[in-house]
Amino acid sequence: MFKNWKILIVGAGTMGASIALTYGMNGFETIVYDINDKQFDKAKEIINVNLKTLVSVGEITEDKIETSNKMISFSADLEEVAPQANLVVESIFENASAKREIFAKLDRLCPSDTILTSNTSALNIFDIVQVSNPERLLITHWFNPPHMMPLIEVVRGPKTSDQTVATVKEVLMRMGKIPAVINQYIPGFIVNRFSGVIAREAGYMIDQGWCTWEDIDSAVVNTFGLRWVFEGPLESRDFIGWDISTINSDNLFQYLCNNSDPMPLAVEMVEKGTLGIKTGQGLKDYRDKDIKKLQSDRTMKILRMLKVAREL
Amino acid sequence: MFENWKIAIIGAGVQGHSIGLEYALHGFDTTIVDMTQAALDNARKLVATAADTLSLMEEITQETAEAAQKRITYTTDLAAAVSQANVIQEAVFENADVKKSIFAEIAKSCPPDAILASNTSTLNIFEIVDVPNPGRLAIVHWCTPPYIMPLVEIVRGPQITDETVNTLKELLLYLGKKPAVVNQVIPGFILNRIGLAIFREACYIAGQGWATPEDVDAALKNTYGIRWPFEGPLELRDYIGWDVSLSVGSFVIPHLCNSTKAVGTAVELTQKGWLGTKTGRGLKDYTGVDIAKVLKERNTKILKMKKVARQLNEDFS
Repeated sequence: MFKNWKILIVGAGTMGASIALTYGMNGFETIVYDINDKQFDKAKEIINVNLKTLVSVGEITEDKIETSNKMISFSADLEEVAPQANLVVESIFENASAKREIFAKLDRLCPSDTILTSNTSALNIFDIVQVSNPERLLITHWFNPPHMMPLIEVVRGPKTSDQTVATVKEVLMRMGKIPAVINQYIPGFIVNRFSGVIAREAGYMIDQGWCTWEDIDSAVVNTFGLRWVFEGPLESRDFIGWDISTINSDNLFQYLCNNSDPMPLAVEMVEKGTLGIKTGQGLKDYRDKDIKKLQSDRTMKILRMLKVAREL
Repeated sequence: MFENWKIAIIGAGVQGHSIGLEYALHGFDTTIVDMTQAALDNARKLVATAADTLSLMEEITQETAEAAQKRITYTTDLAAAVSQANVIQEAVFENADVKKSIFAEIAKSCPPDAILASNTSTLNIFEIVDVPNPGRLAIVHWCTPPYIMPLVEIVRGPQITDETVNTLKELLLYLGKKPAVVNQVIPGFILNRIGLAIFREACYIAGQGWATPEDVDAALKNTYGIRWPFEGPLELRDYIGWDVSLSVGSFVIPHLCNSTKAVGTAVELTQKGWLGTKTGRGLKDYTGVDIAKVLKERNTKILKMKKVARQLNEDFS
């Protein structure tokens, strides 16, 4: 079905490059467009570093480096490449006018049945952009790093057709991705909402002096961290009992943080300028640490966890 | 430090027998107390099964499993069990009156400096129970099942001494557990607060029809499920950047579910009577499914994940 499909990635930044890699690695002819052709060298470097990493842990074989690169081309000429696309992934910066503008161009240049997707994490693309045949427009929100993280949030717009959703899911699943469908635009889709849930409750508990951030992380890592890779929080309740869960909810929800304030700890960190590794200090002190090694260690851990997840 | 320490577990139920096994596995003479011989006989069987599970998963050797079981004494004589104990862990029925009377009984016969620990998950033991030398009274809340799950929450009461807290931390670390300290009694301690906040939002999203329960689970399993074995949600923010975190949080938090009562999926399923494995149906249908086998597999997977987490720490530190 997708044999001669061409994928157009709009935006050759970090995410765009790795999304292109994902398609290319999976046999899709992929064109990476950016208005600024100086981005292409950096994108190529990202692609090749990522390919080497995957080879080093046995995720792909060495020959894949060449075959993947063959599938990926670069162009700064949107007029030339857009008419060829069966599916577009817009991955430019998170700005409403910029996205409106690029989708207007894509609408003009692409065939009327080209699937148009946006990698926005927060914008309501369906309110912002105008395209003819909006049944082919939807959000596919990838996670960092996109060539590794399996989850993709697929967000439907009010006019998105079942056909479009089904096709996009099929493409993603063929690439080993796991699509989770959200039936309308909601702030945070799924994952970022839970990021907010944790920020709110953890922030409250720390602010009240009830426990340390280390102990909250430890509690999570040593319980959910052992379970969530194979059993999600809702499915767990089949074992705990939904009646018990309901009773616990009725007893406890009122005591959780229920306000809309930003996380006090986050406010404090930003005020202090201790933003994390990028400033050398965050919750932990990174000034004496080899940050590159920390980052590459994390990548290796994720790769190992992905293998474990498949085997469990 | 803990040489020759004796442990008494009061309550031979689901949690009690398992806590007892943990102590026994680490060389402690342990006595498990319950009111009936039937309860004690059952506990002995459960201990054997648990020890077998660990041995099969190569967490412990067969020798260790057998030695541990030999170290456990089962008795209905509470006074005798606690008379020499250094730590007494209460794990009886979650009822204030029952706990009050149990601790009164314990206090009559135990050494005056024995640490008194309650496994309550919801009661403010410090207001319910009256013991001499209350500086040694603590909530020590284990997760299910205690012989597998590493987290143990230590909850401080208003009169608890730092010495008691530190001793408990040391002891739990000695057992290979991960203690987390809560500075006062708060509903849900740490884990259940975070867990129920997550549960609330998940039930809400699915209940509103915004995503299926399966997709909500899939979204979390395939993002946090991949990271949380080695990196907690707060430390992750050092990598994401606290500026980004503040921005995302501020954007999303005003839209989160604030219900003070159970919502969405929880209400639907409870109303339908689809309570889970115990009724043959919950989110999933368990008709024809060997539940005992499924339960066993879940524990096996957790043990596998513990190995993975240990290996990750060793290989990348």
